[in-house]
Amino acid sequence: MSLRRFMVILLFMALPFTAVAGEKAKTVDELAKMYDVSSCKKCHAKIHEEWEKSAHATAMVGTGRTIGGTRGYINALKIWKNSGVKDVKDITVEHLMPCMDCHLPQLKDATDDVAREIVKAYLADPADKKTLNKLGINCLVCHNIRSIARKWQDGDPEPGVIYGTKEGSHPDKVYTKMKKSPIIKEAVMCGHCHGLGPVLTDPAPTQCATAYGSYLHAYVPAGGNQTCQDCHMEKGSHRWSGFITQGETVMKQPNRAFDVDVIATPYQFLERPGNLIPKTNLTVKITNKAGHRIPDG
Amino acid sequence: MVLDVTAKTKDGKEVFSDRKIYMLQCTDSRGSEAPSDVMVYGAQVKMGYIVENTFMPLQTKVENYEIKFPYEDAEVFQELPVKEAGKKVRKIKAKEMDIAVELRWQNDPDPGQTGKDSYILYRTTKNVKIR
Repeated sequence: MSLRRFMVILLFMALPFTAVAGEKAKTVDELAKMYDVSSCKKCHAKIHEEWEKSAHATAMVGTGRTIGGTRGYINALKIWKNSGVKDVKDITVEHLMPCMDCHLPQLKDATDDVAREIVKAYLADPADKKTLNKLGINCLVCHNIRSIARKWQDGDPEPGVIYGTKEGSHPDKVYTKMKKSPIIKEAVMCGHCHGLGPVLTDPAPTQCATAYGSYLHAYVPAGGNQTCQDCHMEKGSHRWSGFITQGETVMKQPNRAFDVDVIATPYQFLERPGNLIPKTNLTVKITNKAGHRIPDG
Repeated sequence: MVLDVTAKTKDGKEVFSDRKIYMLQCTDSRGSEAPSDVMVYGAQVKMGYIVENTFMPLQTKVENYEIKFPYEDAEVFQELPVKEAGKKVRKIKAKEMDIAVELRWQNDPDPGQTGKDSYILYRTTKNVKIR
């Protein structure tokens, strides 16, 4: 064995299995390892802990509805006559991407075997949450895969780069550089997945979260000028407080999302002479102070 | 989102109850296929709104209710002069009510467990009386 070949093998063994290798993951475990973020914890412990408790960390399972919704989609694939799917064995990465573009964009770096493994986890009775929760929206999704919106202008996200607010070196074995993401502090950063409405560019249009649509078309026209991050990442929090999975957060701040005013006026209504109707007029005024419609996601 | 309004008299009897559900209500937007007026669930079939009654940002939604105190109209004979016999007299059965208002977010049609399946965002009880 030549020294050069020996050195290449050594280098390959030293690197964790990551997207940098450019190979497709063949199993869920390989994909989880490829996008492993445990090394982030060493320097960003608080953020990592917040993320672990967030809905993003369990995006494949969600509130439970994600399981039901994805099962519905998988079953529809078998029914749609032009999908090419008659059975689970026919399912490919491409078939899952209308859902996984947001729930697991890393799937682009996996083989069709991984797509089928995920499908089996969803269709298991009960769903195999342990397998599904190995995957999700983690640090590398926002700080790499989804960090650039205009790829013809800014290029594809580069392997080995963490995109954020700074430029420079990054003390990690794999992600060794930091670059600025043009959109990371903008609402559009969240808009890719917390979307506009049905994604009509997909062969199987899905309509899931539409919060960014109401942000653009209702909040901003009404004079709103805050970003998603202003409220959901206050003080740099990576817990993305809301009330779907973090109800206790809102309960501590009950007036954060809504103003509610209840006015009760008891009186006797004179419907006609001799007919006094004793009643209460009750008025409930509810103002949504959030930057998007509620409910939405 | 769900808004529940319930009125009870002091003896605990419910005299009024109303529930409003606020959500995007979608169809599959496939008008050439019947029935296209049926609301659907599922991201893979939804493709448009048929009703949008959610809480929109920076907007106020006002809901009005008319809640009657319980009463009955009874014919009174003995106390009235003969010529007025048979006249109905309104008897208000309760002159005081507690009206509970609760706004909550919930995962499913049933509220389930508070703090897990549903979250109460606002709750108040108004005590109302007539003389």
